[in-house]
Amino acid sequence: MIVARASRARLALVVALLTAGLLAALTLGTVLGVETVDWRQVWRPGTPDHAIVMRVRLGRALLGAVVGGALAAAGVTFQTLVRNPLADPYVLGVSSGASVGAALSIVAGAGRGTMLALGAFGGALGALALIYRLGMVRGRLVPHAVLLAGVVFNSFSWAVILTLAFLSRPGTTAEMLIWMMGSLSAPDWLELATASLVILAGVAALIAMTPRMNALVIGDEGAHSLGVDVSRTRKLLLVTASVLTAASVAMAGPIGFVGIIVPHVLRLIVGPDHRILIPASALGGALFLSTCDLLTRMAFLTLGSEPPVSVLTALLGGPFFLVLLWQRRGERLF
Amino acid sequence: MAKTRRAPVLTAALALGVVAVWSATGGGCQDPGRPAADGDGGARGGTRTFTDEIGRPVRPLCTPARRVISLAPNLTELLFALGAGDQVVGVDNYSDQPARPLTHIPKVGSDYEPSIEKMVALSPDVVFTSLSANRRETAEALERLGVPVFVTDTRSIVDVDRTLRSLGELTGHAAQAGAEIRRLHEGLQRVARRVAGRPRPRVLVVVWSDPLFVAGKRTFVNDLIEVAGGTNVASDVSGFSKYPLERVLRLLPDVIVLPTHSAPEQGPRAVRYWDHWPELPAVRDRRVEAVEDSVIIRPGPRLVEGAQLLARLLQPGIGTP
Repeated sequence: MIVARASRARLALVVALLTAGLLAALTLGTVLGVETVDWRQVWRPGTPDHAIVMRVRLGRALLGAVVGGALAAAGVTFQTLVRNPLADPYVLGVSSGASVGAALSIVAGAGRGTMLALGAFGGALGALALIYRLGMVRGRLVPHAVLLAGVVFNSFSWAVILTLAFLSRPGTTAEMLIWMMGSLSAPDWLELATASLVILAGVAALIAMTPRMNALVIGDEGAHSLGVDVSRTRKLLLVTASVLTAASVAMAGPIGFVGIIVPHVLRLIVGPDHRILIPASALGGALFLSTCDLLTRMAFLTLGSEPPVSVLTALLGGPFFLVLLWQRRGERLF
Repeated sequence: MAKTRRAPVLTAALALGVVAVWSATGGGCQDPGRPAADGDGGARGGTRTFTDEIGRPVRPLCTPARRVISLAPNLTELLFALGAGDQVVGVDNYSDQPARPLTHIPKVGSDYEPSIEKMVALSPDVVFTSLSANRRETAEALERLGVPVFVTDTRSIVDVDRTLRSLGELTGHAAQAGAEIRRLHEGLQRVARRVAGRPRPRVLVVVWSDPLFVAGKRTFVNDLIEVAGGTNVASDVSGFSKYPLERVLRLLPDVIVLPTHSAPEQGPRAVRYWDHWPELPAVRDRRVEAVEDSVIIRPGPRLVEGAQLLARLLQPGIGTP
């Protein structure tokens, strides 16, 4: 009881802090930008100022938050699922499955938009299905089999994508490769709303499963003895995390590092209890990616061009993570 | 008896062999039907050394070059315009003009990854490449195999003059180059006179809509827009550059031009994308135009047609400039 109360108190504190941080990031993302804005005009639809603040800036900030949260929560889940600290949406092949789906949509003539998003989503779920089958050993989803299937599938996906890119007309090739760089450009409100619903539902599902995720950490036999249906739990986690990844990649293309860095950083700060870690990672991922997006937009002023957001996530996330690792050296990380 | 008779035969065979190998590496300068080169100071008969448009020294090559390969569509058009069409023995896959003669000319592959084997098999005297279209690795691979490569850098209207002169000199059509340059400039002046005095619309050239890439200054299409009576709003960037959407909303272009030659099927979708931003005068006034014709992006002999096309878009009611 005491443990539970302490956990709840800690959870509340962590959530409060991260939510405040997220709101601050979203506010900054809306207020700051390349152009100066006349704030009296912003509230009038139809003016450029309104479009700049509400649709370009706020739209991107929200998309970044939603995608970042999804990728981070999925990252934690994948790491627990395969008991490997290097797991993330990429490593397990779901991201590259989405990329194959997107590449096929582009070749079929669907540009950026709903068709492409559906193609990416379908590709991710296709990858999921394949990895699911390959990861089953005697009816149970086995961590190292899942990991191996993912790694192999990644290589295969890349070969398919590069072949498609090479055989296509230059315009199609360019479109594919630009999509692969990942982009949080101003989303359609309807698409954003749909993706947000899917992602929020997925994160909520993960939160509901966090006690079972804690049990999985001690091993299959231990979890089983605690009454957890290990096989079913693993399958549910895989599907949920994959849907989160699929939605993210469908909306913004493949964005790296969020799914691996944010979980580890948060784990070093709040500990391995999934009941705190999952919500914290989701909020932390949202905060991290929307901040990175703001920085890429502002980078135009100094660099004369806006780098893909993956560049920022790597540049910020990498050193931060290394510093944290250094401070915590000798401690158990995972 | 047999031994003494074999010696002269062997010597002759050896001599032929040396000549054959030497000719193979000489790029055809020893061709008996070849007219003597004029006024050169090359060490080998008929070869000259050049510096190409990016400052590279080119392998010594015979001039006038009898067999040339073009690896970029604009260079193909320029060669034909100079009257050097008969000398073109190979082109890249994307060269599409002039259409009829090209049906008889072998294609050597894509701009990005042309077939080195095919090119070498065609025994060219020189291969013309474009800095923007072709890779350095292609030029290096060809040079390692003994094929001279001349790299052009044609990014503006002024560059077209220079490239015409380069191509003309190497193919023995220097006089035609001068005439072509004059023709192009007269054409451009006619367009400029026609649009003179009219208000200049603010233009944005969108190379990719989402994420947004535009054509800034130091691009060929930028020059054409200036001639055609418009002003490129993206003048704060150079070349083809990513651009913040916020700035477009601040700059409020009157016309948005979408060059879609490399992906014409994307035209309608790209135009529809801009319906998301009715705050822009270009969208409000329905002046978002997808232009499939390569004339507006290809620095070649049809650039006057490109200027005319843009003038008609930017200055409606102008008739034929």
